[in-house]
Amino acid sequence: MTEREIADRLEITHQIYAHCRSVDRLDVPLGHGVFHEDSHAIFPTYEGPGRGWIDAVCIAHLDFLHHSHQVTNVLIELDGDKAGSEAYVTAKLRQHDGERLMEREICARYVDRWSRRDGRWAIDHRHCVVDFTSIREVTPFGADPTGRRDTTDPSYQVLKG
Amino acid sequence: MDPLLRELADKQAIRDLIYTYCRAVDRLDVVLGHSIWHDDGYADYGADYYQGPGKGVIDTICQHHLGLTSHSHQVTNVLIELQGDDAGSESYVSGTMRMEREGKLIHLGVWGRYLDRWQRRDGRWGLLHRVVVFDHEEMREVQAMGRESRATRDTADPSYAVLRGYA
Repeated sequence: MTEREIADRLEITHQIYAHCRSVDRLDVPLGHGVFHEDSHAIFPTYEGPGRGWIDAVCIAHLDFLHHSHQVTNVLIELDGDKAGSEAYVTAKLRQHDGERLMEREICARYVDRWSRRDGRWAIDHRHCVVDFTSIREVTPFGADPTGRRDTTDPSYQVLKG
Repeated sequence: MDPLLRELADKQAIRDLIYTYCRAVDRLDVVLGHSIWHDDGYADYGADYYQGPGKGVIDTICQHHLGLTSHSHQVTNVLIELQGDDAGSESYVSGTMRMEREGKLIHLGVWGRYLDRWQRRDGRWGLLHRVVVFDHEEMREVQAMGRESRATRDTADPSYAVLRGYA
């Protein structure tokens, strides 16, 4: 593994996390930066341009109170200026149903093809492959969420993004 | 190679193997699962599940997973300590398994840790010894959101179009 390969892997991993940050904070410009302009995305509820997915999901997320996308197991295979990756993702989304607080959980994998253009890695093709889902009523245990879905979120104090 | 780069590369190689294990048992890819182990590796998943040759635990798990409808093994907090051609690691794992029993969809959640000893032989890292510690678990009935899944537990899964998978 060369210095270049270590750096490439970190950069791709960073982009995978940036996608989560984008859709959780509803940060459309950040999300657009994860996809190349001519990219394609396949999600259970969307198929079309990669950047269009960011626009669509940031609107769809307005129907929810909170959501968190957590990525693990990032496997990357490099091939020069191209790469393939698989990353596990667990997304949890909260929504009121009358008096009840419901949580949707989606266990899936981001299956991605990447290319480096002008020195920058971004997604050419993302297929979000869903393994299983659930919906259930949950009981919060008290503390009010301090996360915000805009640039007033405390994370913008520490990351320029 | 610069010692710092060597360390980064070694840790990355070991992380890749930990993730590859998950990929192997989730896609039921026995060949891929065998590839992370040294031939003389030993796996201890507890006396009530499996204690024996490392490669054999892949066979056992992939066989047992056939009785489930889907499963996902997710690893976080990977701590690795290197010592030349040897290494030790602890990684947290949450395994989620689904099965259908008497018309009900049952969710099994297991939280544990993989405690591993690694060795580099002929320039290649492999797993020499794994102890799995189970911290807690749950079992409950769940209701699916109702989306169609395109995941499969073989090489028809879309991930095989982007990863070759064999080290």
